[in-house]
Amino acid sequence: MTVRLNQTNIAVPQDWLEEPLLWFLRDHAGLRATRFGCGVGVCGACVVHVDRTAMRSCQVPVRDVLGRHVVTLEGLAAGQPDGLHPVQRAWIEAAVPQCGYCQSGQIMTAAAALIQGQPPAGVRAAMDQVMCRCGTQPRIARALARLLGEG
Amino acid sequence: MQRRTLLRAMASVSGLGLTAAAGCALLPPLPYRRAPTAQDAALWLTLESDGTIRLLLPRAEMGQGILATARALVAGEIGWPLERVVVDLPNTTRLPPTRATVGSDSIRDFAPLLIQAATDLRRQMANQGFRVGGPLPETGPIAGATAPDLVRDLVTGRATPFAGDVHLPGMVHATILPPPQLGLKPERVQDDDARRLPGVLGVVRLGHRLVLAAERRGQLDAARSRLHITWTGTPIPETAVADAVDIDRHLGMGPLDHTLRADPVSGPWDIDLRLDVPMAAHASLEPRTAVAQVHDGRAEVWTGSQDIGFVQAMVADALGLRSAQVRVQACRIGGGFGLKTVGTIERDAALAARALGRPVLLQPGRAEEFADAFHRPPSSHRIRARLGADGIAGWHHAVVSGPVIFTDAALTPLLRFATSFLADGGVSRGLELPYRSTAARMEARSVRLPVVTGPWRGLGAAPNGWAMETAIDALARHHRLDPLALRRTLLGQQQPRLLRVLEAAAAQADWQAYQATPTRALGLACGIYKAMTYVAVVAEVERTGASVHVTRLWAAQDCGRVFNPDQVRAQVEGCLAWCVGMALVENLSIANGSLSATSFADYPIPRLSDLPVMAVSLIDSTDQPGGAGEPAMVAGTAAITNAIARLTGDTVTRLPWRPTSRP
Ligand code: FES
Ligand code: FES
Repeated sequence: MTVRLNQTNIAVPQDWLEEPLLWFLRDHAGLRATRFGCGVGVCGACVVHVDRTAMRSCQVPVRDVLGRHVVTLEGLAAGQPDGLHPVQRAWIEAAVPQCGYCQSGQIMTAAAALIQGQPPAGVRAAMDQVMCRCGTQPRIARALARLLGEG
Repeated sequence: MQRRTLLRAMASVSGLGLTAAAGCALLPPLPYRRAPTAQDAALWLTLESDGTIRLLLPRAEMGQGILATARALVAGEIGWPLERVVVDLPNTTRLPPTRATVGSDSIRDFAPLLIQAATDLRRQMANQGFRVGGPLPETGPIAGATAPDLVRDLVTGRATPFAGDVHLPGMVHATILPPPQLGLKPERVQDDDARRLPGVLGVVRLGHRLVLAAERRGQLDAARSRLHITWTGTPIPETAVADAVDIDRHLGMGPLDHTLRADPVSGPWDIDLRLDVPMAAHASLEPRTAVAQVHDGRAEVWTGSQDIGFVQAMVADALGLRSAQVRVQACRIGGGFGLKTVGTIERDAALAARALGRPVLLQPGRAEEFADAFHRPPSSHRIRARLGADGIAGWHHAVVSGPVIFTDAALTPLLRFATSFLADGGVSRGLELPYRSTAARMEARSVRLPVVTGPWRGLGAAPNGWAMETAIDALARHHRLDPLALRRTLLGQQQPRLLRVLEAAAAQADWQAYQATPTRALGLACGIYKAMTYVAVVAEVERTGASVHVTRLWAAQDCGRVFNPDQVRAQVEGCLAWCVGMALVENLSIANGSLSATSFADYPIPRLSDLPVMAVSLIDSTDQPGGAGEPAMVAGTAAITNAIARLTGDTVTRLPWRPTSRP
C-alpha cells in the first residue's frame, strides 16, 4: 500500500488508512505546509493536488489516495528551473502573503485551476472558495490577473 | 488582597503606566504594560565574530511584516548586507518581558529604539575594523523591506513557522470541549467509551474546562462523539446580550459611567440616531494553537501569541512555577487581530501536558474555536447632533459595549470587580470628535456580558468610528450638504493632517466629478487612530436587486514616516477587507443559547469576489512614524454604509447592512 507523494512513493501503514490525508501529510510524512483551517471542507487551507486535481485533504481519507499522486506545496515546483511554480512566482511578485497561513491552500487551488486549463471565471470561482482572513484578496486578484495574461 | 493594591495592578492594565509584577504570588497574572527602553534595545542586537548580526525583537509577527522591516532598518542603519542580519522570533528567556504586540505601535515605539541600537552597533563594529556603511536615509522607503526571500519561504512551504508545525517526540494532539450552550459547566464526564478507541487518551478536566487528547489528530472527532458529558447551568436567553448593551435602556437610567467630554448639551437636534453593532469573531485562519511540555519543574511553551510575557505569567501561575521556570517561544501567528493576547490555550496545554505526562499540541477545531474564543463585543450607540454657524453646535455620543481591554478572558473574578471602577479604554477608543464643535458630550459604559468579549482589530475605534461618521453623513443629508464639503468645513484648520488625507482620498476617487446613478454611488468617511494615524476612505457601492456590492475602495493614509510602504499598503488593504465584512456580512449571533457560528459556512468572511480593487495612497511625511495595522478600521465601514445610504436614502443604523423591507 503506497501513495506517490511529491514524486516519491511512500508506504502507508495500515493504521493510517482511515485518517484524513491532511494529518497523514503533516504528522506522518512531515510535510507541514498543508494547513488546518476548519476540518470540514469549507476554508481551503488544506488543499493539495490528487492526480492534478485540487482536493481538500481534511475531507479525504488516506485510503482514497492509495496508488495516486499527491502533490503538496512543497512539491509544486518540481521540475521548475528556479524552484518556483509560476503561481508561486506571481505570488512573490505581488507580495501576496500576510500571515501566510492560508497561502498554501490559495496557491495550490490556483495552480490546479490553471493546470486544468480553467477559464478565468473558473479560476476565480475556485479561489472564491478559499478563505483568507488577513485580506490578501486584492493582491491575489492582481497575481491571478497576471497569470491569466490580463495585465 | 487590599483593594488599593488591586487597583494599582489594574492601573497597569489600563495603561496608566504602573507595572505589575506578574508571576508574583500576591497578584494574579497580568499583562505587562511597560514601554521598551534604550536599555532593552541594547539586547535586541548581537554581533557574532564572523560579522553576522542576530536580531531578536520582542514583537510578534502576524503578517504585518515587522521582521522584514526590522531587519531592513538594521541593515540600512549599519550599511550591512541584508542576508547577514538574521532575524529570529523572541522567547522569554533571551529578552525581558515587554508589552504585547497590540494597538499598531510596533513601528512607533520600537523602530526608533532599534535604529538607535543599530547606530551604537555600527560604531562598535567600525571600532572593530568592520567596513560598515549607513546610516538610513532621513526620508523615503528603506531598501530591502519587501523581503522577497521571506515571502519565498512562505510560498514554497520551506517555512514551517507556526505553533502547529512544532513537533516533539511523544507529542499528543488535543482540542477543547466547550459547553454546547453558553453559560453551562460540565458536571459528569464519562470518557470510557471514547478511550476504548485506539489512540484516544480521554478527557483532561481543568476546572470547568475540558481538554480531549489523542495520539493522532484525526482520532479526536470519533472520540468526541463517544463522550458522555452532562452539563449544568441555565442557558442564556437569545436576546440577553443585545438587551444588556441596549443604549436607550442605559440612558434611561441616567448618565453613563465614563465621560470623555462633558459639556452640557441639549436639543433640539438635527439628527438623533440609534446605531447598533453586533458581536463579531476574529476568525483567524489559524485557530489559537499551543504546544507545551512540562518536566522536572519546568515548562516549555511554543505559541503564536501576541503576548508571550502574559502567556509566561499565566502558565507559571497555573502550574505554580516561577516565571523563570517557564520558557515561551514565539511562533509566527496565523492571524491575531487581538484574539491571541491572552494565554488561555497555552495554560490549558501546559496543564494537560502535566496531567498526561506527554507534550501536548492543543489546537481547537473550528467549531470549538468559535465557541471558546472571545469576540468583539456588541455595542449600542446613540448620537444626537446639531449644526451651528461655528461647526457642530451640539454633539452627544453615548455608547454601551461589552468589555474590551478588561476582557473576562484575562481577569479573575476579583479583578473583574476591581476593574468595574475603571474606564475601559478599549470601549472608548476613537470616541473623540475630530471636528470643530462648541458643545460635545461623549460618554461610555462597559457592561459584563454572558459571553466573553475582548479586543478585536481597532478595538472600540472600529464601531465608534463607524457610528460617528454615519452621523456626520446623516447631518449632511439633513442639511442637503455634500458630505465632503461638510467635513471640510468642520475640520477647518484644526486637523490639517486629517483634512489632507480626506482631500487625497476624494481626489483619487474623483469625488467632485463622479456621476452617481440610482444603482451606483460613492460614500466617504475619515478618522484618526490613537492620535497617530490619519485615514480617509471612499467607497463605491453598486446595487443589484436587493443586494449591494463594493466595487471600488480608495484610501489615503498619513501614518508619519513610512519605512515599508508596500507593507503599510497591505495593512490598509487588510483593514478595508475587514470593513467590508463589518459593513455587509459579519454578525455573530446567539441562537438556542449558543453562538451561531461553527465554521466559515455559517460565519462568512469576505471572499475574493466580495472584495474590490483597492487603491491606497500614503502621504509622504517626515513626522514620527505611526501605526498601520488598525487605523483604516475607523473609516472603511462608514464609507461603505454611507454609500449605501446615498443609494437608498436611509441612514444605515445597524450592522451588517440588510435590505429594509420598506414599502
Ligand atoms: S481545513 Fe480543509 S477545508 Fe478547511
Ligand atoms: S494571509 Fe493570513 S489568512 Fe491569508
